[in-house]
Amino acid sequence: MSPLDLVDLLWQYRFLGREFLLWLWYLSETAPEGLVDIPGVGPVALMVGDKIVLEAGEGEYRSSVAVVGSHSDYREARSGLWEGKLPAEMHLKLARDRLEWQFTLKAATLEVKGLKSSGYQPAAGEEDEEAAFFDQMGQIEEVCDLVDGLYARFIQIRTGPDWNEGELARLRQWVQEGVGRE
Amino acid sequence: MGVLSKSVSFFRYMVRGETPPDFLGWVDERLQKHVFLTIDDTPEESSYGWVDLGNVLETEFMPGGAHKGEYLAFSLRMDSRKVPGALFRKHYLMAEAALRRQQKGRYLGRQQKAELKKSVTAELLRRQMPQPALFDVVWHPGRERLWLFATSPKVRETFETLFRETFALDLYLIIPYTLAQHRLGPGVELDTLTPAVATPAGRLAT
Repeated sequence: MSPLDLVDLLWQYRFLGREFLLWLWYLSETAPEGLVDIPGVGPVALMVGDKIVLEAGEGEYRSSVAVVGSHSDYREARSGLWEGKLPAEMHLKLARDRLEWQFTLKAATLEVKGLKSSGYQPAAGEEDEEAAFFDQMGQIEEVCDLVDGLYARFIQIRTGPDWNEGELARLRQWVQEGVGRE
Repeated sequence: MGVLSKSVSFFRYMVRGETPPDFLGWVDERLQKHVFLTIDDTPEESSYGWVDLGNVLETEFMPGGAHKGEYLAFSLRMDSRKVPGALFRKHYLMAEAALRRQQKGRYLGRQQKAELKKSVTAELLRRQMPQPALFDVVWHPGRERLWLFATSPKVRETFETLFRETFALDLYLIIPYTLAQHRLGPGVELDTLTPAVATPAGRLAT
């Protein structure tokens, strides 16, 4: 893939990343007990954290808004959705067993920013650096596997025959209920 | 930006392509060939290359130095000389005043100003010490995965150029399109997808 191809693909399929983040938000509020089943992984707790950046349009017509707040009260962000904006980046929390991770996921490149793992302590001494490296990479790989598992589930639904009548219809209803419209 | 930081940010890649039978020895040799070369004592404006993981001073790769279990880990070092704006302004004004004195108070023409800017910048750059920056890279060849611990598109582009020059392997940035293909295989119908519309207002916005 040449750099030009990459730019084209980034541009042309920008909506896929934005829709994925929207779907994660929807899933975090509608999955039973907030637990999402990832094939081959098992149940994972998914929550939207304290920041969502929404945007609409492309290029010079692009408009964006950053909403900071608690996950239970994203009134401004929901209004943004109603106006046709989609998430460009989202702060997420994932938990599995006794481990918890939080990070910001960007829609365009699926880039992970500010990943923090609960219970992870950077090694103090040089002799611990090797152990810290493997521990850290284990955490990073686990988070990437979870994100990939969620994305695989999304893309299967998104490319499936029931997308329009099924998941998209439910998603629209969730957006409408979120802004108090029927 | 380090893999061992308490909070990490990264881009992800898939790495594919044919590698020689002595893969690890080959990696050592390729890294050493594209090792970082200092510009502390040269007039160059910038330089980039590989160094030992997280070690700004270690520009020699010991055999096996980058091997960590199933991973290969090293850092991209990017040095550049920068001239602070206020410093440039002061020296430009000094040079401009000197030139005007030489030409008996006559104002500088457009061409003269451009040349003066260029020469002042070059002179100041030569006198600035290069600023080093390190970005860790972790590669898991068994899973064809690679992480670049950076957030800037400029660093990403430099990394991609250097990695391709060093290893001549296929490097794919993970973006929604490439990840969908990777997870579902090349047969997946992405080309017919169009943006979904989640709200009545969205119908107007997209």
